[in-house]
Amino acid sequence: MKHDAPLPCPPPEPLAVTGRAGRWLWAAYGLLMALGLAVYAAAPRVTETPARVGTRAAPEAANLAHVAQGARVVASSFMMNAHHHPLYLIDGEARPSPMEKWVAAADDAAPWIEVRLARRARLEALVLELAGAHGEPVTTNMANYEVACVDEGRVVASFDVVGNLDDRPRTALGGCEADAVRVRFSVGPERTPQALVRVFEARVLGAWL
Amino acid sequence: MSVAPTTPVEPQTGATPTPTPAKASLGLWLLGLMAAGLVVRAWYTSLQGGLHYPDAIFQYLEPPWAMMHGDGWMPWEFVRGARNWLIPWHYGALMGLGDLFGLRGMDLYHLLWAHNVLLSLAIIPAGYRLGRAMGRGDGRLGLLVAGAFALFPTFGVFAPHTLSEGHALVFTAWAYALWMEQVVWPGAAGGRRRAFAIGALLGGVFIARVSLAVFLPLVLLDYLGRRRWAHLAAGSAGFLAAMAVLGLSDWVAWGTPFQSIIEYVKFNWVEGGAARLEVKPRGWYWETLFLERLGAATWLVVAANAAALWRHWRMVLAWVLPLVALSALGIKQERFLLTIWPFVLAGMVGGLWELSRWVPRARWAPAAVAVALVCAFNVAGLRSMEQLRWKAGVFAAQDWIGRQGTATGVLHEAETHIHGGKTLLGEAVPMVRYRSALRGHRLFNFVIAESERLTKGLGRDRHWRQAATFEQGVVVFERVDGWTARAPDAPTP
Repeated sequence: MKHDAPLPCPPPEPLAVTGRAGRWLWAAYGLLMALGLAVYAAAPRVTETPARVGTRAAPEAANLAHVAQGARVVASSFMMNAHHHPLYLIDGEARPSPMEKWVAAADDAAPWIEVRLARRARLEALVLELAGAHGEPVTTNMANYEVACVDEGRVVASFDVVGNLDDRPRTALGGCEADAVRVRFSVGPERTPQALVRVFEARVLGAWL
Repeated sequence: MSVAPTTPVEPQTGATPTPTPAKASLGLWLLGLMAAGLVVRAWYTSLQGGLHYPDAIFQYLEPPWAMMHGDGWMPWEFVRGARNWLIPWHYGALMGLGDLFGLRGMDLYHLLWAHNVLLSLAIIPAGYRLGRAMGRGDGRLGLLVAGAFALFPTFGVFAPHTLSEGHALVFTAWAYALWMEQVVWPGAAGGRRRAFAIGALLGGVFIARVSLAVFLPLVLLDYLGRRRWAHLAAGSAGFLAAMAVLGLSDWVAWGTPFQSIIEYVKFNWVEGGAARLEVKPRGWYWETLFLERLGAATWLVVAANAAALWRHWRMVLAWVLPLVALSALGIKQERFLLTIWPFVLAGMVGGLWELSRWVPRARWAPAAVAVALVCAFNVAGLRSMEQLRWKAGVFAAQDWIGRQGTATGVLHEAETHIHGGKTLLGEAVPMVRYRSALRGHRLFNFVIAESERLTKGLGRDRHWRQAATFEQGVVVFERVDGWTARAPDAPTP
């Protein structure tokens, strides 16, 4: 007989893992993975910095948006590879390096940030430090954006900023009572100076309620 | 192997009767081998810590973590779109399950490692079926091959790691096992369905790593050579189905079907990018995989495979062809050839099985002794493997910092991609490489120091206190005047 002549049929399976029970096992595994994938897909996909309890006084008492005041930031995205983390927005650093700014991801068509305060406050103003404030071309300063006071997830007041040229634009918030401030930026077309949002600092001035 | 009770051989037209242990006895042996395989894998997992390959973190864990939690560090492949998301999504699903149970940091890693260890056990039944087909229905050869797959230490070392090679190993072992069964029992029911599964599994191998396409031609040529047109058509359909999944996933992830393949080809062949990465000499695989990892047992493996050429030439070609093909590529890493080991072992066992025809009462013994010898040499050979606890101290430090709940920023001395990533830290805070300009920045309230110089420097600095120490001289310093600092006299954990 030729040594590799075909045989009629394989012997039966000796172990359940390769038989019917195995198929049940893989089916259960598939269901488990589907559940995990559903949790993965349902994740909000935003950057949310953790809440911290400050033990030192913030450098500016009126700035409620400081990590030492217990503030945190939620951002639609950030440029991860260059480490432009949104937490730099509320670090109160007076002379930041070029890295220490929030830059939205290049493919984020509608970037936004929300500075969440430790508790409700009467808000007087939002001051942003844009790219021009720390030596980058003033043309990269964001010209158009919308600022909103947010209280328990609801927008209680909003303000449009159009045609800004300032490095440190101040937006009056009219004493709104809120626990967060949201900023939605209008980015420019690709490869233009305003295609990327670059913000060094976000200060929310006001007083705790 | 005292599986003495043998079932009467089924009358098979033209077939030589082969003694086969009873089904129940075989099942027990196979379960025992799987338990032994689990022990080997668990043992090697317990020995390891830290970074195996940076890709294990930054190509398969960090991207899904970053998508899920909005924080991480993406390697260039995921910025450019040169990788598909199928395996990262698989880990994303496991992260989703981990999230349900609140697993973070090292606990999450342990879940992933446990999953991969269990997944890698799937090659053991594949080994049984491969060996049984090589033995033309003899379950003893099946058990010998399964035993080799269970006990081979290299599989134990690689088992927990989140590399695409883990998936590729399972896919290849099963694809070739099913193919060998098809060679031996071509008339068995479901031939086309099986061929479809083989094609789909080989497609999975290609998806896991494009260069592992070197495992395709042997099956293709075999179908052509034996004029199995229906199997060839069904196998091609299976492969195309896998490619359709790849195309669809690329479309979802990158916006263009087959973007990952297009970018892979562009980078490696059009731009010559592969030549800039870890180019090693042609003989590197032979020297590292065989001579270094197996020592003198290399010659036993080679001789036994030579003896297997007459009856088990497919198994020999199953590892020789990929070895030759991948040796021709400039970029080489040990993990890329993990998938050849099953066939090196199967070839060796098959060769010794044929040589030991003259000891019919204990025909299994020479191959079993050879498997034990090769495993013993492999244990010794793996001691020189640098990646067993590479950066284990840094990993432990990152996990520890993440658990403190006070971090606002972390500085580390290691390169950007030589640590456990944000996945391990589990906190959405800046984590960047240490430089002196950042030392005064209050946001960075933890430093992971590895060098003696930095450890001494921070030890003398009144703004920092030593908070914890880990293996390999890794010291975590905590800023005493950070925004969320603990009191300077707080006890060191």
